[in-house]
Amino acid sequence: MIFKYFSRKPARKTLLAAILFFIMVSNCQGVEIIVNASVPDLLYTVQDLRSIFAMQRPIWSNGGKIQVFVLADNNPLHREFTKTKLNMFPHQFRRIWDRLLFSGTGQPPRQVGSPEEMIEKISTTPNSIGYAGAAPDNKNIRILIYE
Amino acid sequence: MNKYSFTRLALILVILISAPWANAYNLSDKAQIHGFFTQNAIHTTANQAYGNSEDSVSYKLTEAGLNLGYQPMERISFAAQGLFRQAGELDSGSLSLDYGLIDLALFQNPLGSLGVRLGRVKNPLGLYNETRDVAFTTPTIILPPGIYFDRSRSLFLSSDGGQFYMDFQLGTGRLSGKLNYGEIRNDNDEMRDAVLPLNATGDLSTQADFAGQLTYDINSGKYVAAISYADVTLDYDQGSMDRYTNGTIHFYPMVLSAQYNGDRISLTGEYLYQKNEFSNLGPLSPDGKSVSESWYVQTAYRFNYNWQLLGRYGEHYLDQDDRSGSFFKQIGLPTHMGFTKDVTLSLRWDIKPWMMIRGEYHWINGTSWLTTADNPDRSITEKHHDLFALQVAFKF
Repeated sequence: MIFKYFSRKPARKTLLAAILFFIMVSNCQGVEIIVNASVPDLLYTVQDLRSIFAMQRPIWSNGGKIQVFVLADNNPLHREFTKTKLNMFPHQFRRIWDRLLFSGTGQPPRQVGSPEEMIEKISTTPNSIGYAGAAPDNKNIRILIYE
Repeated sequence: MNKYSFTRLALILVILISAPWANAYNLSDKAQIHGFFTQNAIHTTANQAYGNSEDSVSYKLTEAGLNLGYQPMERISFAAQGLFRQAGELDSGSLSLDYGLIDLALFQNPLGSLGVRLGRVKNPLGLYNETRDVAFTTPTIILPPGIYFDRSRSLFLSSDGGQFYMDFQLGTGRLSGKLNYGEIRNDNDEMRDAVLPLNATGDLSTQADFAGQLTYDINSGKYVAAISYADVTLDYDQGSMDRYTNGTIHFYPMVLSAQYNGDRISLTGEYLYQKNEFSNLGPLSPDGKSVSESWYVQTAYRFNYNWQLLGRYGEHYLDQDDRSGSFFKQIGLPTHMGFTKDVTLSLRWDIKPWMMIRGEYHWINGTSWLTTADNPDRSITEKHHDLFALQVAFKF
């Protein structure tokens, strides 16, 4: 979809941007939703996950408070995650998070600085959820299954 | 532009750019600190908006906030935000507590929650009122003139009392509701000058009142529909040499909102129907009822992750039975005080997730939206005016 609108404009600059973007995206090895091993092992739906990352769902079925971790909005892995896993765009989540934060009615997800920090946080924080470029080899982390 | 404001602006910019803004400050696993800063430059071809803007540039529209969220226990959290705001002659720069509350989650399950927030809570009215001072959350620098009537900003901003809230999955979407009860704040005389336009000198006092909103959204905000309602009572206490008398004003604003947030296109429409009742205010404001009306439609298009173009058209009428403003002529004021029609074009560039620049143009017909603080002599205001605004905003 992103390529489609880049390629509509034949300008040289745009073409260059498209190529750069393609290189950037193709370097992404895909993305997996990961959770701390304490998270209930159920079959989740895309809608469940959208609600979780929108901070609209407070707790897991075990009663534990959901701890959400994300990378910055402009991080390629974050873009890849929102688009391919949730069929949404970063700006759609940002709209919801900023409204919660600046109205005093909620907190946004915790932002981490790098994919490595994400893996460290998910492995050490009970009831946490995030994403990673590849399945990490860590006994405290599980890939979340959803339909 | 005076030298002082330029130096200050430059200084603030340097500090902000050199500061480590990349992330929020996570004090611990239980607390977060966030903030924002917005500076605007406003120019108008006639009339004054946010300071001395006519044939000049006013920098007197500045907003900055710092907030803390702290959750010591799973069902109890605290949130507070301090706000600095400067807005032309209306507010020469003041600090206030924007919200400060304790949030008690009374019931939680995976499909929803229900609870109360006690303290100073923001009033939901339309899609943007709760965060109207935070540039990143608003569609434009100057908000739609009627629904986000700047002259009543202080009135509808927040309440000291509490909020009951609930949020549940319903069908394919989510239903959420907020009901506020508390004393509505009213920190300046602009609301008084809007309803009693002939040199009123007394005070409007607020009472404990209701404000609420019901929202249904599908796909985490891809489709949003909301209805907002408030019930506001104001008592007027006559001032010295006042031609208005002790009386009462009721407002019952209702806002219908609909929004679509797609990949690249966002469509928004809102409609305000506000019943007003005036009693015992004297011959210059005869007893009676009126209806204020406002609506707008707005389209935003994202070229890519960083650039967005927005277009909007909106209208506002203080009295829907007097759309030409003839009442104002009867009391010796310009008829164009009765309405505002606004065509807006806006271009937004999100340079970084924490930095945004926005420029916009407004073609405006009517002066109901202008503050009396900036335009004390309404007889010299003009019906048509163009407005240019430039904004730089930061957040962390």
